[in-house]
Amino acid sequence: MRSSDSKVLRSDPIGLGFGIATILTLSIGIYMAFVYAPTELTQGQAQRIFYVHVPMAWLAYLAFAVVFVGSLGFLWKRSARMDRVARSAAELGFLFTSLVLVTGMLWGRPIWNAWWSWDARLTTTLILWFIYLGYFMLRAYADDRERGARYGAVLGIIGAVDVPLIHFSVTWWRTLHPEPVVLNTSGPNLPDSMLATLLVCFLGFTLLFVYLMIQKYRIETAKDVLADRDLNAMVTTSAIERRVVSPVARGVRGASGVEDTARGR
Amino acid sequence: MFVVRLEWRIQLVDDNLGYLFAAFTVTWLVIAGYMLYLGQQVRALREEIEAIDSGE
Repeated sequence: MRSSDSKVLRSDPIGLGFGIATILTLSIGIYMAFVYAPTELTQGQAQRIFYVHVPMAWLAYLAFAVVFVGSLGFLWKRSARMDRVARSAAELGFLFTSLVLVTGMLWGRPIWNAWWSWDARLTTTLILWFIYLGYFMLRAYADDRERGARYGAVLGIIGAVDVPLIHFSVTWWRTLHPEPVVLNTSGPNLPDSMLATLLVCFLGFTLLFVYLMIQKYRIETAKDVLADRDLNAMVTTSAIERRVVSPVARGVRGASGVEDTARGR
Repeated sequence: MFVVRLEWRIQLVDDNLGYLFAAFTVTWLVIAGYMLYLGQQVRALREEIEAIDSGE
């Protein structure tokens, strides 16, 4: 193994910096969510779920945007690095989309008196979750890594269409889900204290995303290094086996011409 | 009427606290679990790389 390969998983100061910034920002965000932000009059305490639910939705979008860019980069340049970026983001996207769905249900139960409704926003988000799931299944069931990466990249590009559908579903169709309160055409539609709390939570969770992305990318790099090394070892072993063949086998293989090729004749 | 509305409001606020607690707990448990999972992967890969390095 090359000396640079063994450095892949050594501690890195950039990741550590993002980790510390994440802890600080999220601590402030949680304090603001529970203490600084006022209790909403009609929804009561359940409205505070909004301070985790909305950032999770943003991270699910962000992750799919990264998957989209990584997939395009992989198909265009055949870059293993871009593929690693895409598959790292896909795992995080799956995690955050799952959390959007769960926190959304925990908000919906007291407010709508239902855990789930087949409205456009919820359904398109569930479709995004299944797209992520399909992405992993495609990669896992493909015959070889390269083919799995290609299939995953195509799904990553096609699946990105679902993100604008999710975002605009509440304006295009009549839905139970509230309309966007921050990213809408008329500007943020929230009291200042709630908006400030939400923005701090946005920042904190985005830093968490970057931190997790760095860690996941390093893991995927190390996995690739080990897989490449295994592949090289297999190729070397099979080349040695072809050279060190018994006289009987040599006669048989010599007839097929394989041995001659291995000997470099 | 006012008392009934007030009681309903207090009931609503009290009940929703459980959902709020559940949402934050689930979120942080899932994130913490995922970070532990990543930590385990790093440890396993590091051991594998070190084993290969020491074998060479």
